[in-house]
Amino acid sequence: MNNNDLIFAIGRIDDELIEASEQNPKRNFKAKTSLLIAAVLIIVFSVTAVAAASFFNTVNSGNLVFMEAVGGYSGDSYQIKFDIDVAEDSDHMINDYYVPMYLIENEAWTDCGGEAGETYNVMTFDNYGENLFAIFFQYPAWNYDNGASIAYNVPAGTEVSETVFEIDGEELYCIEFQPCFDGYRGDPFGTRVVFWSDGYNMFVLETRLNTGSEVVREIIRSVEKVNDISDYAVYKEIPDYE
Amino acid sequence: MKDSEIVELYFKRNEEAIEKTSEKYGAYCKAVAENILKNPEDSEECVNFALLQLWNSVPPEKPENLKMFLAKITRNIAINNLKAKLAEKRGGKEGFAAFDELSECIPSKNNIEESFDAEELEKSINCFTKNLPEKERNIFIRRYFFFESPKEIGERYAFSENRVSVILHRIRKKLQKHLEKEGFV
Repeated sequence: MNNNDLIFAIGRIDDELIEASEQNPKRNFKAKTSLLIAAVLIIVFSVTAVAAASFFNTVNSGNLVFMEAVGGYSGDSYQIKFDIDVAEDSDHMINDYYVPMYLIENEAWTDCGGEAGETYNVMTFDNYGENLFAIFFQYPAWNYDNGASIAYNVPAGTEVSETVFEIDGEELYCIEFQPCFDGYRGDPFGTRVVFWSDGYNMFVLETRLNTGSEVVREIIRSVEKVNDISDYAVYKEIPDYE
Repeated sequence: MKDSEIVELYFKRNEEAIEKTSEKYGAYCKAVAENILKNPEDSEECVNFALLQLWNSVPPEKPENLKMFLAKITRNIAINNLKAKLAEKRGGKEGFAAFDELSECIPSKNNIEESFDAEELEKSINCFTKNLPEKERNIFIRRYFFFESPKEIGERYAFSENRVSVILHRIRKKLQKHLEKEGFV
C-alpha cells in the first residue's frame, strides 16, 4: 500500500460525512463566554525576545491549553484566544472564545538561559477593568508540538489561591499555588497548582520548567489523580515528552 | 432543477443533463479540482472530463447524491491529472503536500504492499473517519478529500493555521495506528 492508495480510499468516504464538512461552523464565541475559566500562571522568559517580540503563538501541549496572543510591548492591546481543548481523543471543549485585553505588565523574572527562539514570560492583562489575567506562555520556535501554555482568568482583586474556575458547570477551587525555584540559580522552574472540586475529587496539575532547552519537555509533565476525576478528561492524558 | 430530475435526464440520454449538472455543480467541482491542481484552466478541463465520465456512468449508476458523486469523480480525475503533471515535472507541487503528509502513515518498509484489498481499505478508512470526533473528522476531510490548505481550513472553522496543523498531525498518528491495527501496513 502507498499514499496513493490511501488518497483514493479517502475519496470513497461516505457522502454524508463529506457534506457535513461543508458547513462553516465558525464559532459564536460570545455565546460561549458563559463557560469561564479561571486561574493561575507560571513564570519564565527570555529577555531580548520578550522585549522585541511582536508575535507570540503558542500551541498546546498535553491537549490542555491552546492560546494565541498577538501583540508586542507593554501597553499594547491583545486579543487572546482561550481554547482549552481536552484530551486528545475527546472533542470536548471547555472553553473557546476570544477576549480583547490590554497588556499592563510583561514580566520577566530572570534569564533562564533559553536558546534563541525561546520566549518565556508572564503577561498580566486587564480585560478593560473587569478581569485581571495572568498568563504564562512560551514560544519554542523549533517545535510547536512542545509548546505549552496556561491561561486563566483571574477575577480582579482576587488572590490566586481564591481562584475558582468552572468546568462543565462544576466549580473547581484552586487551593494551592506554589511557584518552585531552582535551588542552583534561583530561577523559577515550576508551578504546582492544586485544585479541589466538589469536596470529593481532588487533583493536582503540576507544571515544571527547567532551564535551557529542557524546559519545554518538562512542562505540564504530570497530573496526579488523587481521586476519581474521570469526568475531567482534560487531566487524564498527559503526553510523554521523552 | 432537482437532482433526481437531472438524473432522470441522464437515464433518458438527454444531453441537457450535462448542461443542468454543469449549471448546478460546475463551480463547486471546479473548486474541488482547483484545490488539487492550483490551475484554473486545468481545473476547467478536469470538470469537463468529470461531466463526460458522469454521462458515461449514469446509467447504469444511479447516484443518490449527485453532488458528491460528481465531486468524487472530479477529485479522482484531478488527482490523476496532478500525478501526470508531477511525472512530467510541470509543477503542481503545492497540491501534492497532502500526499506527502499521508506518507507518514505508511512505514517505508511496508512488507505487505501487494496483499491489501482496496475495497477493505476503503471500508477501513470510512470507519476510521466516522469514528473521529466531529471536529477532527471535518478537518481530515477538508485536508485529504478536498486538499484544502491548513490556512483555508482554519478560516472555515475559526481555528488558527497552526492549530489545524497540530490537529492534522494527531489525526495522521491515529490513522497510522489504525492502519497498523487493521493490518494494512
